[in-house]
Amino acid sequence: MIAIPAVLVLACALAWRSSDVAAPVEFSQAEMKRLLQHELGPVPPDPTNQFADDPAAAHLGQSLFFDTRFSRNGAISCATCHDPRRDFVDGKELAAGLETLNRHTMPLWNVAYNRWFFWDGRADTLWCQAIEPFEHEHEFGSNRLRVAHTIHANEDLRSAYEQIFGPLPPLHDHTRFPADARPVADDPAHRESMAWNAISHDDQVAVNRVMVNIAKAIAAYERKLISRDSAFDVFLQGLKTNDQSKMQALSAEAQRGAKLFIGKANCRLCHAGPNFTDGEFHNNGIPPRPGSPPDAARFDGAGRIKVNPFNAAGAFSDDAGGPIAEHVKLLANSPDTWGQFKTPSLRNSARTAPYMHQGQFATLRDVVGFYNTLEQAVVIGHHQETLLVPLHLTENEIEELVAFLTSLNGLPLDAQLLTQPPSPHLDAEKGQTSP
Amino acid sequence: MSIFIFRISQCLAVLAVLLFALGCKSAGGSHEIATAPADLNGGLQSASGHYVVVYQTNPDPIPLNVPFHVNVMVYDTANRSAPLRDIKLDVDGRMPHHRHGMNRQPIVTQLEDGTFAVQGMLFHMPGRWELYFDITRNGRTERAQDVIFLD
Repeated sequence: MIAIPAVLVLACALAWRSSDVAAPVEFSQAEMKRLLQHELGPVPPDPTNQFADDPAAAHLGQSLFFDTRFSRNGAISCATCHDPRRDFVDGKELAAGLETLNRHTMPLWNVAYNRWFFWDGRADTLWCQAIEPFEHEHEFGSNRLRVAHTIHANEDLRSAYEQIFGPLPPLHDHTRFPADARPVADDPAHRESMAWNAISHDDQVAVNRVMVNIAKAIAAYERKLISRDSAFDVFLQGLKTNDQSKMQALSAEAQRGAKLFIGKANCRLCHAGPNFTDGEFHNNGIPPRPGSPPDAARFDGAGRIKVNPFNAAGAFSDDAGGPIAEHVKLLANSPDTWGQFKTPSLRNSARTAPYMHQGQFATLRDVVGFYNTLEQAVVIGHHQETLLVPLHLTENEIEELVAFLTSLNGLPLDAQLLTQPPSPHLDAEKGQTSP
Repeated sequence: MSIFIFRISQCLAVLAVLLFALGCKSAGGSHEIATAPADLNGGLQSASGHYVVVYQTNPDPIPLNVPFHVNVMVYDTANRSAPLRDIKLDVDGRMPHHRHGMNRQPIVTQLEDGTFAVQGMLFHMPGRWELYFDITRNGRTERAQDVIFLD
């Protein structure tokens, strides 16, 4: 008889918990409007890259993405840091090519929607970004002449390249095109810089064009790396059409997390829009790794992209007068941006740990925990933070927010996009004889 | 994307400005010759009351985190027969509560009819923005401003 009341108490407790979990989550009109701002539209065009949607260019770009021959040690490719088996990141706190770098590898999901690239936005198009790792001394450690010669020396790569972009320059003439050369802005005495300066202007342009074409092919591939149709996306469609079955794609816990995201936690202030990023830069007081040199971040990046010959307004852009070029033309390089880093997208974020610009946080829970208390926040530069205040989330609310972030994981990509193609020729993939 | 915009100041004159704004295109496009609005009541008064500013954005309302342009006409409060041409206009946006402005430097171009075409504005965050029109004439600058809420 004593056991019956205990069982009843237990049953009531379980019912209370299950009813709390199963209680439908209501959204106001204002909340629905905010949530629908995260609806993902089609991939935007990139008129600065005339090959952006060219299947053959994307196929070549995919081949190049995995090709280690372009690195100085023959062992590093884009896929070294952006590993498709790990959702295009490396799982490390700091990226590592030939040497360890000072920042964390950024994921490649939905980069086709980005306005700026790198943590400091020092590139304004996907192809502009793709150029730098080749010549970065700690990444591939190569140079544009060596890259061009590598294409030229390999029959398959050469024919695939020329089929898309036209003839290579006469790279066999080493008097005009030395084995190694590149401009080194802060070290004109560098042997590669001196070799570059000895090349005629027209030949420099020809080599730059090869480098740009390779980067545009890689960009065409990267534009295909789209994360969509997450549980949240299905929920949004249900919200839009009042389809309850689709709304159930998102658990009640994650739905409560969604309310927090656009409400009490106010994550949408920076993680706004279809890809959960405003694409701009903020100083959120994340403590840098001990011993790290001061990082000007956006202030440095903005200054660099404005003078980059490969920016969207430059001679190698296919739309130098268009809307994408307008971003760099109008860009302000204010000292206020010192220490600001780009807002990363939250799509697939549950799969791309660790987090922040130096991988400072191991889990999403750690990230939410940081914003919840701001106990670890530091003052960086001259910025006086006014936006970020402790959130005072409960443990349940933290779990709900993490559940919501996890619901942003998209459907898997076509497996064919995750490995190096057998041939750089798209025609070969289709079983056709390549010329 | 549907964005909720809330304007504090009276904007009756802006409706009249639509008569010329309908012919406006983005910066670089053609522009019809504008006539002075018959009624400037509701335009933005500058801080010391010398000027009235009438403006129209494209798109309208101002979208969140999407570039927009602004067509602006500035009138002398004492003589509103025609827009002023002997002035310099600077336009900017700021979020005072966030202590930051835009990440862009817009381009202001004075057109033949006295309209100022402002290219490349961008309000990248939700919240309260202040839109500044700084009018410089004879070496002195006055500001007219408006408040824009983006959600």
